[in-house]
Amino acid sequence: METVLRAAAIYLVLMVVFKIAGRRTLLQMTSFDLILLLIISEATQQALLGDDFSVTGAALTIITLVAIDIVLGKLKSRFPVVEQVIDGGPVILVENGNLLTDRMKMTGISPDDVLEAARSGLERFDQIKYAVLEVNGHISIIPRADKQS
Amino acid sequence: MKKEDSSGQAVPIQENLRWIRREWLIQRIGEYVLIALVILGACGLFSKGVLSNGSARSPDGTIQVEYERFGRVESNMDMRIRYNAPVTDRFTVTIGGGALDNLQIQTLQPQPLEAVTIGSDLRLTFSARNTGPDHAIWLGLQPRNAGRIHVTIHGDGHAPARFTQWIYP
Repeated sequence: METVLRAAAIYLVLMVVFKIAGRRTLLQMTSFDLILLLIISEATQQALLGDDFSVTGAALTIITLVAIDIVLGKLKSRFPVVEQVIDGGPVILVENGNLLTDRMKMTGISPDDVLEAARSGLERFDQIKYAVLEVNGHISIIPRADKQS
Repeated sequence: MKKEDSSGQAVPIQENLRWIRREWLIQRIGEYVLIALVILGACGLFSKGVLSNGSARSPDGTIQVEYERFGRVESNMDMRIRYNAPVTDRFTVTIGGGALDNLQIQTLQPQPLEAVTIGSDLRLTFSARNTGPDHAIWLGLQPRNAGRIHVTIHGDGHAPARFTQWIYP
């Protein structure tokens, strides 16, 4: 029982902490963030397994984590509210070249971040029809049809 | 051209502004909560720190215990018992109150001459030959269960020092 509870508790803690950290952490993944993730996994590992070195314990932990993930996935597709709470929804940052500063502030995305994402083909905000912060933390750019070069 | 434009506008971006606000609020509050947790943790709310250092003393002052108010399951904590014993060849210290159901003794210094149980209490007898009245016992403990642990410690027949320890899971 303890193994299952440990796994569930760690899952919950990580979910809450990364929810608070926001999507920006996913967006700007530097090499240091990778190291940070490795350290986090190292710190988690002890609490997940404790002094249990058995294959059964490890298997039970893995199965519990995956099962929680599956159940949450099912809940998300069944109840959109759950998905909204856990993953959040897409956020429009730029609409027809206008910066929606209020939303940018709330999501912690700066205009530079949007331009950085748009840089593959666009230079200015008025070339952007929509810039959308997706659930996975990436910024999708939809260019304006008439301004496209 | 026009047609393309209108189909572009129909890009289904379902955003829920109320939830975005709520999410933002949760994050703002959460950031403060995380910082507060770090500061409290550094101060010892989760064992080992200023907030965690406790000391208890028996009513007659013969026993003084320095302990940690907060502990964590399966991590070590220290306890120091000071005892002002009557000058004889040996003295006894009894740890009880059901504490040892939840605490595992990892180290015990000095080694007792005798360790006996009375119910679920542990009575330790130490040698005190050619020493003064002041003695100290150092214990390394490991909590086995989460929750509140009541500890009583008394020396020989004196009144006990009582305290509780809170163990985090």
